[in-house]
Amino acid sequence: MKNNIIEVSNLNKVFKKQTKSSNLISYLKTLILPEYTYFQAVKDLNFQIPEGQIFGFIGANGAGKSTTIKMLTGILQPTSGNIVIDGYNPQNDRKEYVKEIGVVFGQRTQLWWDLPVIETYFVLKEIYQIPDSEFNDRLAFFDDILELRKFINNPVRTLSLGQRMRADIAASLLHNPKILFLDEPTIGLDVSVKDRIRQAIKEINSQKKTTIILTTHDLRDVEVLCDRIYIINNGQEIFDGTLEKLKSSYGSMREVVFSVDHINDIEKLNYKLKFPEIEVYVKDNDIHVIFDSNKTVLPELIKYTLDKVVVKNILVNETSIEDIVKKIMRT
Amino acid sequence: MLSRLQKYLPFAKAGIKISTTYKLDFLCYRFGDMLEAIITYFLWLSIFNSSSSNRISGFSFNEMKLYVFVSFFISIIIKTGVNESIGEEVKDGSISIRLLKPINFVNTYLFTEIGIRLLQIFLLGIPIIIFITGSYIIFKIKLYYNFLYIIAFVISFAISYLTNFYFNVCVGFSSFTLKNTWGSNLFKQAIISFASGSVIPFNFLPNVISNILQFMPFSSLIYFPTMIYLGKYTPYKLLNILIFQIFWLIFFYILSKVIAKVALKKLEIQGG
Repeated sequence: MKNNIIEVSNLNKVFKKQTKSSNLISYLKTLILPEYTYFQAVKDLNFQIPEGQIFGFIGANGAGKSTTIKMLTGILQPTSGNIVIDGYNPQNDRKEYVKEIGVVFGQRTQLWWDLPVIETYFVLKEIYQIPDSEFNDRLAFFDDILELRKFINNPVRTLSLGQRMRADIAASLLHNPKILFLDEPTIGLDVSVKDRIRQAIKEINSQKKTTIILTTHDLRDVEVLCDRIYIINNGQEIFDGTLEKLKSSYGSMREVVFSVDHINDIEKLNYKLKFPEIEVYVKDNDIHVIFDSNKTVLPELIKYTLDKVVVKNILVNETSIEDIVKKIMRT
Repeated sequence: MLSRLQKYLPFAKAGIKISTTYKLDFLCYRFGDMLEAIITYFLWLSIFNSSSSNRISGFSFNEMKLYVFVSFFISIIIKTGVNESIGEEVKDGSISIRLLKPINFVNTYLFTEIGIRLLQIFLLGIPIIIFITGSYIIFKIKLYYNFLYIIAFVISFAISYLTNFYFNVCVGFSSFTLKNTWGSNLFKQAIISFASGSVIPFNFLPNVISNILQFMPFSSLIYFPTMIYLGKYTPYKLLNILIFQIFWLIFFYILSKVIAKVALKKLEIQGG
């Protein structure tokens, strides 16, 4: 059994927000007597991550992923709970701790906007005091797997999103951190760039034994990369296990969408009588049906629907992470 | 120590690059400031012309002239945008990038600004020094000071710069708790321009007010360095003033650390 490099226990984060009223009188009142609302973003998280694992941290928007990542990286103060990473407390030992981690925020860049990529690398070389030989070795390694050479001398503002992300990943790894946090590294990228980045992450993990914490909305990222999947919703753990476990438990869920002319037709359908185990919800003029392919036969479902109402279009989806999360939430 | 400072050199270099990018902008702004100094100059000229004696509150007109231009020069060089930078980066969450580096993040602002200032000191300082030295020669002003005073002025000026910087770090971090940067900035500007002596030398004010202002930290920003430049103090008084300035510098340095620590605990990094 490998050592746990990350240990999180009873982690909580409560945000305090001042209530702003749109009513003038009560607005003036809150100026003198502020009222607060409390929002618990993270509830009692407990997990350990062994060295070298790729940990997929999944959840819908607003589930508390980013809040947790910010607490793990030390830039946000937990309300209560304990975080020990590589022997450090991220909040109290900031300067020492951040030498051991690399962080990539998909929606933010650490590269200097007006300067060529390589200039940022030189700055990082000074900040982390990386010896020349190691710096050159690592740069060569990243050039190999991320193909930086084509744009390394271009100012960051001229890079495409994919190039910028590759440059950012290399920047976060120049000091050879033990732990790499990737917050939505494939957001907004096209399929081939996503693929290259996944390969690179895999390569880095296997060659440098870097522990990787990855948040993403892309199920493919998880499938290709993650040894372990951790799903949270409303700040609480709802699943912890391997991809196989997730799939065998929930992977047989599928979704079919019927586009109809008259949404009121849904009354004629009365799914519950014929298919008691399915989930139905309506969005615009679409009827979404989520079903378990082990229990419900798709052709039967379609035939039943076509018999009852006029359908313009039928779309069958594989279950997305969001659907699985929804499903897990209900059970 | 040297290797510790080395980490921040790239920030100073980047500051130089930034200032060359926006040099025209800088010149336009300074042209406006220059007009202000010239107006102040003419104001004092007419005050001295209408006065019956040629010294007012211990100032000759030549000294007053120096006071106006030296205090103007100091006030421009010690200007800092650190309070706004902190406010903005806290607001949009980009301060997290700074916090994730194994360095003192306040120093990263400091060195970037020093980089920016270096070019400005050359662009602005050299003409002013030529102007002042030139007027010494042309108007045959008696040179009061010696080498000691020049050294003391440089030290006092450096302390003034750092005091103002750390004071503004305090303002930057407290403003995001107060949430209103604009109003508090305006208030701060008004206080400073009066209490630092950049509008009027304290000697012209009633004794009580002058004494109070001299004990406040803002006198360290403009009034004292300018008066040292004018050679208004005995060596003993000079030493006292430098100690006084160092005291306030240490005060704001420690205060900025405390405020930053408290603020970062309450920080809610926005977005993504």
